[in-house]
Amino acid sequence: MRISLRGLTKRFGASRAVDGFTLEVAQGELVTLVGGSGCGKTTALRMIAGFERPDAGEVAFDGRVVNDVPPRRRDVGIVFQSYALFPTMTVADNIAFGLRVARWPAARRRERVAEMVALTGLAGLEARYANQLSGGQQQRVALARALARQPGVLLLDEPLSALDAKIRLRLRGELRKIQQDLGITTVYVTHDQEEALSIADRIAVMRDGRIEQVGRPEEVYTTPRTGFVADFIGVSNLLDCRVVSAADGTVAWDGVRLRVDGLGAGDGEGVLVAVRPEKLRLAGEGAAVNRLDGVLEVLTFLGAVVRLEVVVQGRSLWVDVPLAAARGLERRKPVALAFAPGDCVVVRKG
Amino acid sequence: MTTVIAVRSRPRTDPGVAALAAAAFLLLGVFVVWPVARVLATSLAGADGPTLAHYAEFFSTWRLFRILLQSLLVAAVSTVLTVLAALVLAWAVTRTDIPGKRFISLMSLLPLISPPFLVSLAFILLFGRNGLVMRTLGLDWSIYGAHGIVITQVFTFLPQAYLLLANVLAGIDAAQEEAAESLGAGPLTTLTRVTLALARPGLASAALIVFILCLTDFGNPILIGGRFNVLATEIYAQVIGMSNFAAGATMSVVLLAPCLAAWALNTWWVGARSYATVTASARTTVRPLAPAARWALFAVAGGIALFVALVYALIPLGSVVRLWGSDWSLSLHHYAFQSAAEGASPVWNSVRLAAAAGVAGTVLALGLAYVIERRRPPGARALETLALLPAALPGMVVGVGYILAFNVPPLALTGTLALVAASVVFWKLPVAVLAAVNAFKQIDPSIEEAAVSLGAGGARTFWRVLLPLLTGPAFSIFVYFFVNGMVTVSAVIFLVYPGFNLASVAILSQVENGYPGVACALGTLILAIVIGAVLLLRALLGERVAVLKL
Repeated sequence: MRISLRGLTKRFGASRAVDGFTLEVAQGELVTLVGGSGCGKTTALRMIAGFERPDAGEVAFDGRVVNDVPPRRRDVGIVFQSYALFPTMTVADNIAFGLRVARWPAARRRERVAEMVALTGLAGLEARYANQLSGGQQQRVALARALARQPGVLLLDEPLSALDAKIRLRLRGELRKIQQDLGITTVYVTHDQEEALSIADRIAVMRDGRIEQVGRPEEVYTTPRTGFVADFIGVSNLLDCRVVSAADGTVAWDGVRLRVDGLGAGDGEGVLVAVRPEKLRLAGEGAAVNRLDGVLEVLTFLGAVVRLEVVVQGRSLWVDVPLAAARGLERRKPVALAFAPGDCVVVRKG
Repeated sequence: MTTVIAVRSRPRTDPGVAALAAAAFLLLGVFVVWPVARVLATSLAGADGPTLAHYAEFFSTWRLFRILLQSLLVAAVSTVLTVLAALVLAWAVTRTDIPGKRFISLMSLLPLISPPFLVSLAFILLFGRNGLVMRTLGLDWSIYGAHGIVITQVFTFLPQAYLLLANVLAGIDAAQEEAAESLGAGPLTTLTRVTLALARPGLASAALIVFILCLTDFGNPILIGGRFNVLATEIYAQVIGMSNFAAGATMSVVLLAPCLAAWALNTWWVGARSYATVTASARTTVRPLAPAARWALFAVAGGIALFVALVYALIPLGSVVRLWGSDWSLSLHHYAFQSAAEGASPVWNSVRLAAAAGVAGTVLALGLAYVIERRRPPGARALETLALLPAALPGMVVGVGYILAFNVPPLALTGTLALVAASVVFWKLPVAVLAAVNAFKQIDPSIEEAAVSLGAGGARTFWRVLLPLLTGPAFSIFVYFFVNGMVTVSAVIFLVYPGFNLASVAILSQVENGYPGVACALGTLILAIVIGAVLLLRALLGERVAVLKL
């Protein structure tokens, strides 16, 4: 099923939780809505499900507007953040609930439950109650229950946030595999940008009820369009600059001249130059393009790389260097950084 | 190779805690176990040693046996109606968007802080022989009897059931209902298969608790039962009217048995079945209703609330009408309290009792909870069970037990304020102890560990660290005992003594002696004092002072 959201707006009192939200989700596509708390991502999801009525705008499935269709007739499967398993029922009864409501004959129902149990790896747990399951198992039951009726759309509201890191990684992979095998159109809400990037066909970064940027994960990561996206997706050093010469791509950051590619602003305008920590490198002696002199303040060991906090012109910059390159560095000693003009992204302010 | 040995600190009870625990056992032994044991012993005492003769007589005398059946039947009917009404109110307030929810909620809780039989008094003013409705409509119908008991009990015990069910319904995660709906379930399927299925243990619990309250209720049956007797009123008649302690004790045990059973069922069976929230955060959303359903629900819930408001408006009104039913002119002469020699003294006695029970009960409940929840000496579980046991004791049993236990040496305490206060404190202890234990549970144990690591001893930690964190719960518990001291009747009615009558007890006798106006004046004063005390403490301490249920 194809989802079209056009100008969705939802107000709670005076504040706009979702404000002119427009997005197309193609058949079989998985789109993540990512943003900080209060950005409206869950409200947007609940409008697709039908639990919130939009104050303005439309939700359409395959071109048919469903604003007036109640949740139970929307053909949507939902996995809630809290899973919302029925504690009064067994795993099998939870999964069969929707089938029972739809009056599937008992034999077909049993067959379908068995399929879902196999699909989600719950074999042997059918007779258990929700409170006798681990968090990961509860999550699988919630997914199986949502998928049992073969809905046209799957909605996931922070489905992995209650789990610990290892299980989260594994279930993320399984979830994606099941979604692709079934080819089900999916909207996935999360606050975890890494999760959003890793699982999605496309990712929509939300802020204050609006979509800040939408695109393929690598596209959003490498070419963020705003400072917010650059900072929220991954880590970025944001340099607040003024354009000196648009013609030769020169900007000034607190008096330091920098050369950048892809400058889309006129002379004298303010821009943000975003540089990823891994794009900053340690510069040797002598002059280099975009050389920044600073003092090393903190070294943080992250495994394969070491993250440095270097204070340049009174601002902290993050720099990721390979473990080997970090050898011999000492705190409170001067270091020189540099980045290539093509290794940064110039974004609008704000 | 070295073997790492896990060093586990051996639980060590320091002497101070051991002494506290011993004192607690002694107190509960004397004021809870001993009176019940005396009731049991008296019911079994014969001329030549233990005998079951009193029981044989009770069960073979149709007049007496019928009272048991009547009591159970009335309690069962009252329970079903009360729980149903409370369910409607609680559901309306917690899960729907009907207007006037604050008013409905407030009115559902008002009976909580009033004497449990003011409802009967109001019904007498409305439907009694000189009742407003009777007089205006010229009806020939009597409110007195089993139906009167049932109606008044429903309104009297509504708050307890309402509070329990509102809690349960508010705790049900809205995502549960949304999950059902997204799976295709309609409103009715969602309500029955999901919402009510989740509320089932709460419903059972409310029913069992209300059943105990109705079965042991004394005030309403004696005021409005007419010639219809229940066990509670019969015990009173046997003990106070005929000084037949053996019969009174036997009936007390007969009354106690179903109460204990209901209590045990609620504590162990229902408790084990309650659906511990599977999720961390339950979110309650108010579901919009279809307009017709919304207004129907509003009519029912609002009607019940409005009726409660009317009941409580009638009491002050009745206190300023010269002669209810015949002379409607306004007058304050009931407040001169000239209908009895004791005058207004019962009101002041009630305040004294309430204050004494408030202070003593708060200290006892906090101390017990500290020992049970925090220090856990050997026997802490037994101590907890003992402290919670009085919840199963009918007030009549407490009253009869206290007479039997404390009328004779070595503990001849009858005729003292201390004993009346003790009856209130120990009988009402369970709710206070549970609240105090909960309050301790809210305090992170590492706060105490921090104090101890900084060198503070047990006593200093309690006084300087824990107690300041407990002011809110402590005053809530004080209010709870104070209110109960003001309004309770069924245990203290056995313990008031010449020169020391209580306002709640005086209301009963004023009604029986034909002075409903004076009874209303007493009731108005009790209500004013209780509401005033709650509001005063709230003004001084803010929202931290909560009104505890039951």
